[in-house]
Amino acid sequence: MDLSKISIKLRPRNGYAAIDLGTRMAQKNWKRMFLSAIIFTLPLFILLIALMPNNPIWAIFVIWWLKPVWERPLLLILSQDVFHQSLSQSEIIKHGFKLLFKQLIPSITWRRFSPTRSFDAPVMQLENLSGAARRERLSALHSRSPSSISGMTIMMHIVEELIAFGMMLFILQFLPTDDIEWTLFLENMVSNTGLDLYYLLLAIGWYIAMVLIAPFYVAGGFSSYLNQRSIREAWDLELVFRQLAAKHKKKSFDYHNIAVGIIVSFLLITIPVTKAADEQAVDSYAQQKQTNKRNIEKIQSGPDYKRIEQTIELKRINPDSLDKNKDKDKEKEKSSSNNLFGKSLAEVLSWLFLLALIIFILFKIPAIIEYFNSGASSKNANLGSKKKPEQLFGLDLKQETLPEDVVKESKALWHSGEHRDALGLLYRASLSKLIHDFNCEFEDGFTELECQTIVERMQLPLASYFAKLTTVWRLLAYGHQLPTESSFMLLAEQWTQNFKPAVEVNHQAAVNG
Amino acid sequence: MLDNTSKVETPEGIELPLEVAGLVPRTMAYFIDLLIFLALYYILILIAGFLGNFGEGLFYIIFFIIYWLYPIIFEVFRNGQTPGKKSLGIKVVHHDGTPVSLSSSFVRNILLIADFLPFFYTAGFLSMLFNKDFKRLGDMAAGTVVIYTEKENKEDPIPTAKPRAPAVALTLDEQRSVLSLAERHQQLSEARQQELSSLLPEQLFSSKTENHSRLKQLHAFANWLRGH
Amino acid sequence: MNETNDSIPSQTTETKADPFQLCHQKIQAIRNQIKKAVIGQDQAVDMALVSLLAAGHLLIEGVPGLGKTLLVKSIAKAISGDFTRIQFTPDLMPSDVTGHAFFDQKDSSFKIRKGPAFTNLLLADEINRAPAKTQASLLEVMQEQQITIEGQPHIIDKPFMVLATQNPLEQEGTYALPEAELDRFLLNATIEYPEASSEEAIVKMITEGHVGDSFATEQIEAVASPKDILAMQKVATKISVDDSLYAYAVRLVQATRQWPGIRTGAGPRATLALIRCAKALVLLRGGRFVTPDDIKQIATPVLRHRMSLSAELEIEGVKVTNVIHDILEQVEAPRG
Repeated sequence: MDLSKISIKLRPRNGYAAIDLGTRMAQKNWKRMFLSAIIFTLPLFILLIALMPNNPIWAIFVIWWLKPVWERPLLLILSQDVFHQSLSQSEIIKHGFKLLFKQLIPSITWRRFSPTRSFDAPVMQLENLSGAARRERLSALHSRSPSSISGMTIMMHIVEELIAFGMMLFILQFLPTDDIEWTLFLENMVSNTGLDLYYLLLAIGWYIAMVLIAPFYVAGGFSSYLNQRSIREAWDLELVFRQLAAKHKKKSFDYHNIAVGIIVSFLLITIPVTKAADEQAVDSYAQQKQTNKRNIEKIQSGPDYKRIEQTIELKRINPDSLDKNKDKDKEKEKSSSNNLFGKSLAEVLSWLFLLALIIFILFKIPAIIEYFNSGASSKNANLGSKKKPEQLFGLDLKQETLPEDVVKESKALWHSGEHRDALGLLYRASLSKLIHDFNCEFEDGFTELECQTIVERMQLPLASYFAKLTTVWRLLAYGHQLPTESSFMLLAEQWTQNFKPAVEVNHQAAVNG
Repeated sequence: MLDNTSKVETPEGIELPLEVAGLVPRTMAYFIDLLIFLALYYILILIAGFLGNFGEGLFYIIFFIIYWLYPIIFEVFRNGQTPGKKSLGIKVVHHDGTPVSLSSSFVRNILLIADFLPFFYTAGFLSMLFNKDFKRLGDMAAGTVVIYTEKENKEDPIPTAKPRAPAVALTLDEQRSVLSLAERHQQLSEARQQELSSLLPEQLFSSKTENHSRLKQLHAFANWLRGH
Repeated sequence: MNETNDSIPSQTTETKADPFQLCHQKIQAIRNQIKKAVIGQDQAVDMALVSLLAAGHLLIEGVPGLGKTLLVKSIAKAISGDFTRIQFTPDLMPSDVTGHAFFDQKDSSFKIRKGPAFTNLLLADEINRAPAKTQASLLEVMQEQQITIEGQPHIIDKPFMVLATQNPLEQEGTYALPEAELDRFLLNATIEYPEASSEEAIVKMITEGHVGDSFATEQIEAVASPKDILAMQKVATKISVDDSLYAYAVRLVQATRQWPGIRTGAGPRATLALIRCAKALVLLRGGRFVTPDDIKQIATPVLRHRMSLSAELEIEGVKVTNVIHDILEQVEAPRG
């Protein structure tokens, strides 16, 4: 009853997540809830079947109609569990019976079809509110409640129906009679004959579906209710603040704690209802009302509401469209016997098409894989290697731009003090020669060292000269260390030796290799 | 403490909570997808009508392909979300939180047949209701789970106040609650906020604080906690 | 890779007080100490040292269990610096990183409790597990090298280096660092599985004469001091860079912005990082000047985390490193 005993993790959740938490709560208490549902409904169901053996559907309809009443013991079990209290099965039956008659008439008449039935139930059952107080409390709680709650009612209803029919057909399969077929059932439904067995099975299937689903529906509503209140009243914060206060309690006596403590306990789950509790509940909700009035203004008929419409539409459209399909199928069947040739032709053509599609895909697979593997990288790479060095090297390396006599020009530069340009010319001329006469493949992004490696790998006779040149060049270019004049002159002299008779050298290399 | 999350432990030993989605949002998402699918179905019928018998054959093939590929393509290439799932804010992931792979998506969608058994998805519904992580049979086989897409990592505005440290060191939970109170100042009534702040021990506040100024101080703490 | 600079014989005769030489020796000593414990991860060790010498921060990616913590511990021990580790979790608060002020009841005054960020080497494990707010607090510390608590700036002792790890898996419950923030990491190193021979050595080392299965850092000797590191960082800035290399670095970074299939290219900080890291790498290798090869070598770890691919390329399975490789191949290197 007080928040510190709550057994669910308090935090603000979205509407659907709150329902899911409810599913977990129901899973935890499933056996007890299921048992209670059976205890409170099965005797009545059997009695009704016995009273009107020819109308089993009426029997199940009564049970269905009384849902809001027999769901109450289920809510009792859940509320006890959430606050860590547990009643024995017999106590639940005892208290459950008392609960059945609380606000009985409205519950099974005008409130029966409320789409927020299980969300509203705690206000009546746990807060013990009725009349105007209940109405105001509900309008406060609904003012910002998400569409998920009515969505849940619709979904659970659909699921229940589907399971009911599923169960019926399932049982039907196990019956020994062989003249029963479920397609027959549909025809019988139309002709309205020989339906007794089907109706009985449907009633049983529906009953099973109802008691299976009810715990989850009740729990979903209760959990949504707790979530709404937890959000509005910040229960999660209260819990932490109280614990913090308890840590420091020794030092000072704070009577606020106690005063508020009482107010909070208005979530009354005790079975004997006290008047005091009633009053407190009204108190707190009056306080609440203020908040909600403000909040109501903030609510807009936004996307939340649209979603409900959508699902309602869905529900309407689905059965319709299915029926239509069935009709069409029937028509088709009739026409198909007349037009057997046409149909088989279509079939053959379709298969051919499928076959062609598969063959096409099989042929295309290598291309597709290649496309996916290489992606942009291969496209770019191709560009690089196809266009070949001359263009990539820019103006500097085109043969035409190099002076006729590289060595002479370079020496001249050296003597005029342009040391870097002198060596640079020598080096660039070497690269140009390597590309044009020796077919070295240098990518645009290759550094001097990488070029050198390539030359070495090609085992050209000039490799050792080129290595020397590269080293001296790199030291000058990046290390700013000038070679001695003699070493430059040596390099220049040797350049002619190594590069001038390019064709011959190349030829020689081929012979040697 | 009962919660609607599934815990995933990472190799470093920290726990990640995944907020798993259950029957109600998943069924709704399914219906939305079904609606989209039916629309496609009618369009196809229309087109097939023009093509006569051949069209009918073609129709069945295309119908078959769309029917099976629709969820798989969306789940694999659209971040685990079919249009229906997207509108409900849920998505499919592996149960360790990693994105769903083609093979897993294939398995979970093919096994929709198993979930259909014996009729009308009874197995799937019951499985989602009774499994701890709301898995249907296909999810169990594929090792997948449906979760809520995480909220954006956005900060709710808090009332501005000069940042100030609380006089007492607060634990992580306490710090977050103080911050959260400030973040929710528009959703909670003034009275309730006052009431909540009155719960706190007075050691937290600068000495001799009147009750009504406590909330303001809490906002100052929140500003401080948020990190200037 | 290692022979890059060795192939250039230094022409100046070595004087005894050559700072580059001294640094190189010291770094080699540190490196050797680290390698006693961290086996088979030479690349990662080098990247960590480059990052340390360039006074930057390192982002490490790799599957868990490959010795990221060991690496940081070993570096800390070898340079006799402090070491702290923060495991980032979804509920980590900014003050868990930086520290906070608290009220001391005894003498009724505010005191500062310094967070783990006050250290030399900070291992931030799995930064993408914490929400943006907490990540931001770490990134701020990295940038400013100081922490503001209660309006008072507190300066962090230097050297200060953050080694953050990030898991390559995309998983629910992770908060990816925004690209703009990732830019604050100087380098992005990957830790790979060790080769078979290294793995053998690791197993041998741990099982011989050790109880338990934790790597021992005891045998690592402190061969440098935090002061040495600061001095070396200064020396690293003095490594000479030819003008053509600045142009080359700019060309490379610009190429990342214009390359087909790139969603976001590297920012201007990347160019700076390229040069800083190349200098540190040269110092580590014992050279005196940067060559295009140094820049090419460091380009992948510098650029990898600063650019992202377009959706099409990602679906095609192209990796950022592939694209960087293409860029390096095709952007004109300075050559004469």
